[in-house]
Amino acid sequence: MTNAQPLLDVQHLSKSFVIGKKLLDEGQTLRAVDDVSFTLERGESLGVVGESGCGKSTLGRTLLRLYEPTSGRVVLAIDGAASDFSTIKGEALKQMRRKLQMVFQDPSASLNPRMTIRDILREPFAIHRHVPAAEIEARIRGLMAEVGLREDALDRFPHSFSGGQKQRIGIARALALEPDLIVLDEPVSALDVSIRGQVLNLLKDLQRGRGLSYIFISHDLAAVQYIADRIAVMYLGRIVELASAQSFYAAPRHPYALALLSALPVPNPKLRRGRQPPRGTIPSPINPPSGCHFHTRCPFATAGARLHRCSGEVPQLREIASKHWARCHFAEEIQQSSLAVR
Amino acid sequence: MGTMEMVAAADGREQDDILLHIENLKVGFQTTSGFVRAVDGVDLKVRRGRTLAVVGESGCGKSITARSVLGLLPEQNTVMSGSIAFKSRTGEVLDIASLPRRGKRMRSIRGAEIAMIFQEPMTSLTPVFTVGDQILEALRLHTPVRGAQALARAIELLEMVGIPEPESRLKAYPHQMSGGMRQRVMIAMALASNPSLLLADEPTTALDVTVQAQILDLMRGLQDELGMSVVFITHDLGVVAEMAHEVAVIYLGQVVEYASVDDLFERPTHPYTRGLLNSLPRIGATERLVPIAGSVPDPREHRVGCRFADRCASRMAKCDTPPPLIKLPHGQDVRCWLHENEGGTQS
Ligand SMILES: Nc1ncnc2c1ncn2[C@@H]1O[C@H](COP(=O)(O)OP(=O)(O)OP(=O)(O)O)[C@@H](O)[C@H]1O
Ligand SMILES: Nc1ncnc2c1ncn2[C@@H]1O[C@H](COP(=O)(O)OP(=O)(O)O)[C@@H](O)[C@H]1O
Ligand code: SF4
Ligand SMILES: [Mg+2]
Ligand SMILES: [Mg+2]
Repeated sequence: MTNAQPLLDVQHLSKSFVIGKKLLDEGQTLRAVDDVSFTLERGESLGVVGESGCGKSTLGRTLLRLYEPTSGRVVLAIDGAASDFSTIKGEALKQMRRKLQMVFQDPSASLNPRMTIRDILREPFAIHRHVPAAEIEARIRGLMAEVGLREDALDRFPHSFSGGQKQRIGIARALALEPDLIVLDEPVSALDVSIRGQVLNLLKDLQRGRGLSYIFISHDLAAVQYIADRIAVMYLGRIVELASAQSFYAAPRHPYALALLSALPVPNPKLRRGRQPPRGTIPSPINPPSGCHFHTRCPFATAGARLHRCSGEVPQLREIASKHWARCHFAEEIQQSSLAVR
Repeated sequence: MGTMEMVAAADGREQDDILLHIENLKVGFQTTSGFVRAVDGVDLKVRRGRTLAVVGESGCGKSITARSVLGLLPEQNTVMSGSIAFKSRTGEVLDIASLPRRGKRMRSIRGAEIAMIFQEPMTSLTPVFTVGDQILEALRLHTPVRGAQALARAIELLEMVGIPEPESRLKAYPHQMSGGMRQRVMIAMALASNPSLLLADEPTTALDVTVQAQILDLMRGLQDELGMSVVFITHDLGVVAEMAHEVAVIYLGQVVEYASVDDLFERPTHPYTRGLLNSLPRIGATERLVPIAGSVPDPREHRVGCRFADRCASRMAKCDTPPPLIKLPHGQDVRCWLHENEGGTQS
């Protein structure tokens, strides 16, 4: 095996839920993640953005097999060997899991209130036994220092910490197993402005220091830009745009991405724009609009031949510029150069 | 006119212009774990037809300040002092802080002259009644409009907040609507009585950005149209820049900086304001963030001196004494000793 292989190679991954299934009622299928493909290099971070319900968390959870995928493959290259993580079982799964960790939005809900911080951090070592018992305490202290917490916090319980501190504990726990990849699901969304900045810096430093790969899920396009090398925009289960952060923020190519960017309030009153937020709200994912899911709100497909095409034909994720993909029939026409300077 | 007279004349005009004037408001809660100083000497002025944004991190006393204005604080364990002068429609200036909360006068103001909207629309909406019933009830409580006229007004209100097919929507229940629609309905209810002051407590915090943009646009348009004053509470400096005419930055129950929105972003002056702005990632910027150290302390702790001192990089010996709100010559107020010698008057 060579290093040329990406850490993560996600191929046509889908996850559906069946809703409202009763005795004689087959229920309805909700495609929370719909044919998602991307790769992630070692040490690279992918930002996943999109509005509530578009499938970001489901994607993260399916990648880690917290949900079983409905179809598709997740090929992981770890310790020089590539394997399909979406099907392995037993001890192999347990070993692989160690390398993939998750950090959640709500730091309170993800820490057991009856355990001290020391016990919370000891748990992963106890489960995976990857470190000799005599070394564990030193490792725990090292983790505390790495995430910027004092050692005397080890004997306290989660409730005595602020939200930001709890999130640091959650990050320390994820680091305990020396993962290659961490899925961060809205890790700073619940935090105050100053604490959010602190945790973003911490995440950035950890990534550099440890060569980690991140999947950074967020609806905050500015926070995503700070962390991510590449961006994936999701809408109703599908990736609608995938590009390097630089290329994306300089020239987004999907009308939905454009809408997200122009809706973002910018902390500069001089840039109060006469903006055009997209019409309406996100449609139900149970019966998503035909063709391009975005056609019901898209300013480029309001009438005539365009509307006909956009409502009739599912656009493919096409490479519009070098390594810049968009799922829009008219992506070539979309330009937004004014977004570059803020 | 001499300078002094000009200042006096400007002050007089300013006085006419002020709808709400909060002075030295203090609100504390007696709890089993100690005395919570939620609001600790807040001064605020809201001018007619303007939006004052109140910004700060969670727990700084933003919501409690707004609730004080409506007499909506818990009655049991609350200790409150200071004055809240409100210019009523009748022309008289009332001190809301001293009105009996359940008294007739307070009820004639709350919901009628001053209305409030919240982050969570279900705070104001009842799940068991239709949207139409709830708007009609608001009209019945706060206006003389009745019958067919009331129904027409309800439809007009829904139209005003951008709800399509308002007539049929009257029959919908809140749970049949999206979060953004519910927010619109709540705004419609708040506006039923044509209030002169709208208190908006993080009204878009729970919404997606595209829906937030729609609601912000709506609120700006309605303010222009109706000429009401708005107090817009938020922790999002982007929303402040979009919405505010004036801004009050609040920290641990005190206003630490007050400025016009342009001044605030062009010349952020208090170390807390500057720290907040330096904590923010921005699109197009690549520099490393320099966030404020530490976190907002527990409001039960007794603090002497500047409330921000333990997080402040510019702290000096003098900061052990509480700084006054210093009025800078160009019309920006800042509560920080660093600006002591630049200041005009102190309060
Ligand atoms: N366990 C589940 N059973 C049924 N439906 C689910 C389940 N989990 C998620 N969904 C649905 O799948 C879709 C995607 O949800 P998901 O939580 O992934 O969205 P998200 O992008 O993370 O949203 P948010 O920004 O609100 O966190 C939604 O319509 C959601 O209601
Ligand atoms: N009923 C109450 N009893 C005790 N403490 C309270 C009560 N309501 C609010 N507080 C406290 O008062 C402080 C200010 O609260 P709040 O105005 O809601 O903050 P903000 O809206 O700025 O986030 C917080 O520390 C909060 O915990
Ligand atoms: S008064 Fe002192 S401690 Fe307070 S903000 Fe100013 S410099 Fe910092
Ligand atoms: Mg989610
Ligand atoms: Mg609040």
